[in-house]
Amino acid sequence: MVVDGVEARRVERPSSPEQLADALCTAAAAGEAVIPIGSGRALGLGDLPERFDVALETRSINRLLELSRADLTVSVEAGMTLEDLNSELAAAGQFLPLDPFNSPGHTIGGLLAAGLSGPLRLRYGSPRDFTIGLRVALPDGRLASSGGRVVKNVSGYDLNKLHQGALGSLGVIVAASFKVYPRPLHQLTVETEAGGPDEAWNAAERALSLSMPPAALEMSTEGHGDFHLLARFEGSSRGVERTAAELGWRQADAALWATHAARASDHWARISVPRRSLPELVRAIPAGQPWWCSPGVGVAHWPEARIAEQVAALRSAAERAGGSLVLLAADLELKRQVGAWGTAPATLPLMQELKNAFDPGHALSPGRYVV
Amino acid sequence: MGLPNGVLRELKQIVGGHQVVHEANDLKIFERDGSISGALPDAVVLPADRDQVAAVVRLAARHGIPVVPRGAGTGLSGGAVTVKGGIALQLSRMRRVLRIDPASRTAMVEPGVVNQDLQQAASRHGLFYAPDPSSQKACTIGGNAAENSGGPHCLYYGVTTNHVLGMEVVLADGSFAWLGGEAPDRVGLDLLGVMVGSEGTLGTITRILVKLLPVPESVVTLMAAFPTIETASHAVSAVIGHGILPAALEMMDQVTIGAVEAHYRAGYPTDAGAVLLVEVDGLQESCGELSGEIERILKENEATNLRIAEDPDERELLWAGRKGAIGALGRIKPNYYLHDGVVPRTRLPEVLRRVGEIGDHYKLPVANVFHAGDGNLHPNILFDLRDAGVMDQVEGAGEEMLYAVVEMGGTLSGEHGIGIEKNAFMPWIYSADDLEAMLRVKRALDPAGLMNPGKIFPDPEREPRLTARAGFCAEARWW
Amino acid sequence: MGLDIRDPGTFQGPDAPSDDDLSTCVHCGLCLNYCPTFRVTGLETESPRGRIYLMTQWKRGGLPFTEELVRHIDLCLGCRTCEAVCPSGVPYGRIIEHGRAEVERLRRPNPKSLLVRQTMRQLLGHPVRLQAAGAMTRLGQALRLTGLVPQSRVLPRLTGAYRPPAGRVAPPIGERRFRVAFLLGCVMPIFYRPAHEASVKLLQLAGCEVWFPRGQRCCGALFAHNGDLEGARGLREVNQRAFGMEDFDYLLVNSAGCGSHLKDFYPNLGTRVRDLFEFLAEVGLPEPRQEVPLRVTYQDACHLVHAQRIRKPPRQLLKSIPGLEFVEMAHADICCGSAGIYNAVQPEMSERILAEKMEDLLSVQPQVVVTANPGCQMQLEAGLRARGRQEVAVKHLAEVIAAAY
Repeated sequence: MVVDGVEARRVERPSSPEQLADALCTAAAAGEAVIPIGSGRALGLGDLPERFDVALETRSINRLLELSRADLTVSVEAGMTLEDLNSELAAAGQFLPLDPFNSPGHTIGGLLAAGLSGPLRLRYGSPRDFTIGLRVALPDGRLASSGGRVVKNVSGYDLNKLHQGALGSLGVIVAASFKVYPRPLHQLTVETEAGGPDEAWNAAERALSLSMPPAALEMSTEGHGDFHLLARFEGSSRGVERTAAELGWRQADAALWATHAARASDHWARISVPRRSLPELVRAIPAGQPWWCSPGVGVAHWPEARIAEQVAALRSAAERAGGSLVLLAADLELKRQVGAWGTAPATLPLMQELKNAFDPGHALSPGRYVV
Repeated sequence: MGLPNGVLRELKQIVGGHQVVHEANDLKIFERDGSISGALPDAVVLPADRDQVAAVVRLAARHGIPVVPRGAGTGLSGGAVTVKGGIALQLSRMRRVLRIDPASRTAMVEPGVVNQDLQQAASRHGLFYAPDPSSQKACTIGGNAAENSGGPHCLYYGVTTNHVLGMEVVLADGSFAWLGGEAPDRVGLDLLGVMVGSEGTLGTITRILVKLLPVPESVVTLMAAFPTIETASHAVSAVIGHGILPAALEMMDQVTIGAVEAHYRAGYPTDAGAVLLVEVDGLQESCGELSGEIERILKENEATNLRIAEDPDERELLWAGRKGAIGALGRIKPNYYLHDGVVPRTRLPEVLRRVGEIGDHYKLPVANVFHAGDGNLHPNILFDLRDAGVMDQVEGAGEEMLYAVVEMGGTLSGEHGIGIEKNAFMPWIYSADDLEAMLRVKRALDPAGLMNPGKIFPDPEREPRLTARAGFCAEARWW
Repeated sequence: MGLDIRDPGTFQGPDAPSDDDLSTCVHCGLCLNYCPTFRVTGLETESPRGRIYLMTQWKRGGLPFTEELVRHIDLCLGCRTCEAVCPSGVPYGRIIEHGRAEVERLRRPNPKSLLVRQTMRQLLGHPVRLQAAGAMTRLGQALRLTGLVPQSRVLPRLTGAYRPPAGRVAPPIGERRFRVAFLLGCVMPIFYRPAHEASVKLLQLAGCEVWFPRGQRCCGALFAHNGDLEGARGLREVNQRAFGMEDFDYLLVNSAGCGSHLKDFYPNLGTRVRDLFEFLAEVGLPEPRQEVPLRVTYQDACHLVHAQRIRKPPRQLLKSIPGLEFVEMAHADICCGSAGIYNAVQPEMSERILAEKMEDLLSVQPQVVVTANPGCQMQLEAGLRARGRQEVAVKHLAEVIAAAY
């Protein structure tokens, strides 16, 4: 197992949360550096590892713990893939509203730790909004849970959120519970093209200001200065029909969403900014290079993030707008030059306090994350 | 207790002499919030702005004085009660809506802004703020964020944490930190997520950036009567089971309906065993279609007396009745004690039966009014504090009810917070390891333990009897 | 000013709030944001919940009875906004009235409260004295001399008192539908003659024969609100005799404070008492004859909207007038700080509350602000005058409606 050119000295494949916690504890106690790995689809994220001794794989911890159909909740172990979970849920007429890029194949634990989401975030929010429980293995061997299996819960600190997007730097997610959603009564995918940026953003804005805004809205470059807009409406059949008629885009194949979710690159960056700043940011992407974005959310993906100067310029624009540019994958040289994360947040000292409280020996992914 | 020498003078220098309450008799009036137990603060301080908050907290940190942020004092878990004395930091003067940005659909507010005042300000732009706790006429956005409050419409829209984009907090040492922001996917640990719902134990909120949503085009409110709580509970499961997630799905039992009707005359049938209040919103077409479907499901599930609110006034009145229900119970008995445990929806009939049995056993009337769609119970135990020895009975009954909730895979609190009311029961749902992880956060951000001490975590000093009940967790664990 | 610090448990006199009334408060706090004094101070001690807790503690011996604590009771406006929003049905109006009566009993008589009480008894209770041409000026001067009324609070310009028609009956215009008795009141006829004239005209238009009973006096509302229950009871007897002399369908009142007091405090008359606008909205008026092209906002009188729960009728009537543009101001149902004689005895707090009111009021840019209570009218006039905004007229609701006929 290799992460950013560094090869692990050994690979651990525990088959239960307890085994994983033991393996983590043992390694941490021995001063070894551990990188938790799911299916590896988000391994490009993060700075170069300072050290790498143990690859801790979660893929064998992949049971469906509980699917409570009438409660609209599900609990799974971290190694289960999103597709496997959604096929279980589909049998119950439900789904987890998470559609990350670079799909298929993400594990649940990997998705949460990497903080990934996709077009459906417009309607359903990010996993932060529908994760109701989390179980995490800590470097001292403890298995700590937060939240629970009910949809509403304010008992104790919301550590569910602390571990999301933390790239396993405080602990290794071994299981999660989610609030899931009933399959929409009706869905309709529509698309349109735009000949220039103004036309494209106006079209997006019009879709977003509908009385029933789309559940997902994506804009992407098509080459030759053209743009493609793809939207999905969900709801009652009459509501969806009325809305689609108001918007006037042509009906499209729902399979386009799977194609869209497969998008990725070995040199890609994610730009996250307040949504009003997104047009300005994508305009700053070097001419002729492709990108795609969620205009209603404020996230853009740029699959040609190869040249340090270009990355640095875009990043500083994103940071000026109050956002960030994060490299989701890049070659070692680029990571060395500009770093994966950008300017550290002002609250870094607080984050370091937390890191030290959970992982005092810095056993977890040293060097990879912000702390 | 009592403040160290000179602190009072310094406090007055910071906020002005009129903004410090320290006279012992006056302090008595600040001993409680919306819950049952009280404890005297050593001083109540009313800062006018963020800088004064920071200065007060710095002063308190220097002298090792506990600080307890307080909004409107409507909380139901004792979150604003100064159990360890110290300074009650009353934020009610900081009540400005600083900015509403209709384009980005956000509002920046001070913590003392009353939930309903924000709603009114947002409504001028065709927007609304989704979390709508029943106490929204009085409770503050700061308090809502600290407790991660819910409300009837959280079934569809989510609770406070889903609507807070960013916050400025004054940490335990008096320093400022800005957490979160308008951009999605922040770099670094999600401190905002931890701060929301931390009940003032990690810092004092001084500004809040919240998300606003466009007012839906159409709203349909249905009221349906049922012969029993049990039939109503089954109807709830049936609606959700059909893949419909209404904006709100609320239940009131017969006792509650009687009290509500006495004040609001909203037209709830007082002879019904229970009523459901169901609301759908969105496009006119969708509302029509969904409410028709819901109507059909409710009728299949023994609904009688089904009514759709004809106009906004009727709708408002139905909601006023629901939201004022807990206060209205004062018409039956002068005191109430309620828990807000959550069970998986499907366990509702079972847990409500158990709640009824416990009430009968203790010979205490119980009124149920709650967020049925979320499985979030509010069994109100009604009593008169003037009756000798009644408090022990009430607490005993409450404890048994919560225990039943936990046994059914539930949790201690859905929206009111743990505070000092349920902290002794935390070991029922969390193992020592779980609590240790949470305590690591507490120790990292508030090493001296001065922010709202005595809350959330079991406090052996205070409730030795209750903390002895740990160990139950093994049966109730999530995994 | 001194106050006996008596034994706890002293709050037990015959007129003290009852334990049952006090214990209806469940301490939920829903009243806080509606209490004008809490809104400006942010202090629990200046809130309904705090005051009830305080009186409960007094009653149960949890707190001593001190001058400092009594101040929290003094600062209550008695606007009863809290009562209207209280889901538990706490009878706050009754609690505070009785609380004040008990406070007055326990408090060592001080010059200020004695003077207020005496002035009220000597003047308000005696229409002849009150109506004597110079009476009000003398009262004003007398009060100013004692520092009770700040110089800025100038009383409205007097235009001569309202006098009932000869024979003390005004005939209906058109078909006679009702016979109503009319409460003249104490300050209304002197300060607000146009309001009375308009009110009577509207009643006539609505088909009422309006009877003005001889011998009626101040209804006693200001006495009761100020803790002088004894004075209020005396006036009740006089009025019950006066109104008992002839038959009538309804007793019409155009001053919110009086209407509320009559409904609560007069067991023999209470059920026949109607606020003018409650009545007019119910029985209807003829079609308006002319446009009233004004931009108008409405200030709820606390004793109309909260004590009597009359919110919609005044707005309905305003909206029915052709040409009139009705604009709702924010917090229209929050007290203006007048509250009977509150603005005289608590000038500082009254001014703070008035300042917020003026901000809300002026921000909707009305030409006219209407209300339905003399105290509110005076307070709003004083506020506008102090801000140099006399171009905004303050009128009684009846005047604006009558302008359409």
